[in-house]
Amino acid sequence: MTTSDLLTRRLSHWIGFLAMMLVWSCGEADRNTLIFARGADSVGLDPALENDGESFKVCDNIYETLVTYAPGSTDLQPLLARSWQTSPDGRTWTFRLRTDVEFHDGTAFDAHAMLFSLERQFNPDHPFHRVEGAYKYWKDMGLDEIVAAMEATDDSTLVIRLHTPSAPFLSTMAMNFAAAVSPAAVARYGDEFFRNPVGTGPFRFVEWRRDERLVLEANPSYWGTPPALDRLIFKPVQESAVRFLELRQGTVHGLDYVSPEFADDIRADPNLQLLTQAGLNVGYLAMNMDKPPFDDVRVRRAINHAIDKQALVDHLYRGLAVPATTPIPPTMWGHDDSIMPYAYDPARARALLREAGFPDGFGTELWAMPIPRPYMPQPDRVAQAIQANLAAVGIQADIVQWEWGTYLDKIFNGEHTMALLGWTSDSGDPDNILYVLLSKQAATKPAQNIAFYRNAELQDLLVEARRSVNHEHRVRLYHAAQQIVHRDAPWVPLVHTTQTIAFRRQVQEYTLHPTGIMRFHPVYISR
Amino acid sequence: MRWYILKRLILVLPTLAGISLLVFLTIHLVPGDPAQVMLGERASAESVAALRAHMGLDQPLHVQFYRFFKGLFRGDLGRSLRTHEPVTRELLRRFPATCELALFSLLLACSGGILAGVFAAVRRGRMIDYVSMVLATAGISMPIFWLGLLLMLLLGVLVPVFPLSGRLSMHVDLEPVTHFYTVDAVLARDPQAFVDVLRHLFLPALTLCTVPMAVIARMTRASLLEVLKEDYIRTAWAKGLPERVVVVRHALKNAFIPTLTVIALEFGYLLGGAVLTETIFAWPGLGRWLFLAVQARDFRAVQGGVLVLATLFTLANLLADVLYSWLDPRIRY
Repeated sequence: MTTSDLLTRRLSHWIGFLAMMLVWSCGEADRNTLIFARGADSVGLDPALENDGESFKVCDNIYETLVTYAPGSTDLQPLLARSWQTSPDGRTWTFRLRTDVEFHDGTAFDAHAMLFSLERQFNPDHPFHRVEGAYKYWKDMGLDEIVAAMEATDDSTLVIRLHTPSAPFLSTMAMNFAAAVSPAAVARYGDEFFRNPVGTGPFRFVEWRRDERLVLEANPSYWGTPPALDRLIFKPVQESAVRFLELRQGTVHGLDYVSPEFADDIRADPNLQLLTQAGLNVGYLAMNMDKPPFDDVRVRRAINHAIDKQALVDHLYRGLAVPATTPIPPTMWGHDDSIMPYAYDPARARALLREAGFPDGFGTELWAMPIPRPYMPQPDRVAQAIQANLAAVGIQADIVQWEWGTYLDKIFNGEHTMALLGWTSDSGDPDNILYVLLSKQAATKPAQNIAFYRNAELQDLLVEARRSVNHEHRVRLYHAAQQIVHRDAPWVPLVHTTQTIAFRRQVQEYTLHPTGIMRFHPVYISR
Repeated sequence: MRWYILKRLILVLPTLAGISLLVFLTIHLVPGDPAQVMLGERASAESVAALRAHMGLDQPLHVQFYRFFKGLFRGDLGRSLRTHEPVTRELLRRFPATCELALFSLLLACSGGILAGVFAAVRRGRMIDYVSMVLATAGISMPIFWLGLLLMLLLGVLVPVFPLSGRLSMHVDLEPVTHFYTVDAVLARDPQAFVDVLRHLFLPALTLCTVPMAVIARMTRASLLEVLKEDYIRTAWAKGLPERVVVVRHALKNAFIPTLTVIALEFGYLLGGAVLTETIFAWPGLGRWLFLAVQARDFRAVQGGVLVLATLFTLANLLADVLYSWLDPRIRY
């Protein structure tokens, strides 16, 4: 036998192998299993410890909170609490809990379990306070300062006392970090609870192979209507093009964060559906008012007039965003739609600059995030577009980028002149944008208020809105606050991005939620 | 020989100590605070401080290094800052994924590369020689990212033979024991799972094998051409031996030493994990995990991962050295 005969024979073995692969394709997945592709895996599944969207996507289906957001809105409705009341001074909240609920491990849910779930985050002496991780949300929502004490007065009553009245408190309790966890499971798993989650929700945990699959199944003893799906599998697929191909092939049923470049293909495919909804976020350009010339309101207004937001939306967001007028997105209650945006008007911008003493413009820096964020998927290109807009009115801005952690560190310490950043509100309360990002309090370094905007009148309004429990009154206060912010122009509010999710056509009853909560409870797959 | 191996193994230890010190210093000296990176734009100063204290980042550098080293001797690499998982557990899961892919693609690369190299050398100057060497050059210069997507489109979408991503179909239940899924499928006596694992391996392995295959092909051709000029080959021909015996038994075995060096090196690189291939095919291996760990300044994961990789790389080279003397008995240590 010659060498080439041998080679030919080897080659034919390979062809045979390939043919075998072709013929032997494996069986189909169970028809009542929904496979959802996403860009990254969860970090962990202990709701109190997590900080990232991918973790909460799963936790939203395993755990439940005292109150919850109504489908499609940020209005609150009962969940584990049947009802609640506030004392006249607004400082004592009494929750009456359901008595027909049990955890996935079979232990009963009651006020003591709810107390356990909240207290372990709050009380440093609690036996389960020290765990691997930190209670980031509890701290970031300011609950250490707001909450004074809590107790379970009987099996179905939980009382929480606050230091001062706090209107956003109830919507904070609807966030997943405040969900009920099984005390027995926390005691049993300790530091490993994050990968052995036990809650009361419609789905219970089955298996997690990190970066491969995370499997949930319907909770057979769920207190409410049982979920229609038997199984729910989250599959991490990092590459957006591959996620899209998998959806088209039907190997997954759904995906989120649809890349703008695939949106049209999904819309055009009769087997697929694209759901969109304005998100509760804002991407903005902050001007550091501690540094001249940004201490001059005419300069800040000129920059507002110089930037073409519609062009950003059309070209860089491909229509999956709306131009922003105020920091509050139009889908959030309290948004003031009477405010007229600063129109894109380079001539007006140049006139304002002349008036401020800069007839030839000036040189400055424009800081941009190094990584994509939900409110700004392409920060470098947004920065380039803004740079070109500013150059057209005579402002020469050099783009500055730092590694993400350093970037945040430097801008929180006010080293920038102009910087891009954004925010996603997950409580759905305007306080979670206006107070956190624009109050005088937030301008203390390291500051979230990176415009270093300090306005006493605004501060009073925001503090009053925080304390008032009268909804109508709060709306009026937030309208007034947005008028002031608009007048003083510490930011250029750029865009509010649209949330996107795509499914195979057979997937029914999924609704996008403004806060980004993912609920698969009502979802079913039609035949 | 035994002494040589032992000496080399002992020498691995100071090398690794040096590497861990280097990695420790690099990751602590580059800008970027892990707590800040992890918490993002939402972080309040209090929660960053709390997290820093929790991670032990508020301790002086030498205290942190002492703790790391103490843990190392107990086989405890700490918990990953990014995923809360013990680093050792992550490594035990991810290394088999990477290793299985590396072995499979090395198998493809060796069979294809040696075959093409031999073909090209034996038929030197003919069409087949030019074609295989042009393909080899193309293999070296093809961007992995583009090739991966192209293969995926061809063999996953247009002719849907192979799955697009992952290690296992979502409906296949296979209990991970060794985390080498081919081995696990054999242990579970589940032929369907075995084929499913192979189908998932094929596209990423094919993508990953192009560069090593091209390197191996060129190396095999070059060294085989050298050997084919030797007197003893002429003697073999003169004896009237068939072509297969002359090329495979007499020439190839002697021409194999440089190729083996290349194979060992390539295997080392493949074990380092292929960030791009793993990203495209959603392969839960070491490469992407390390990449994300570096991005998040997750120093515990980076230290552990690099240490394991360095060990393996050193061992792969030691293995190659040992194989030399097996291939060529004149080489003695």
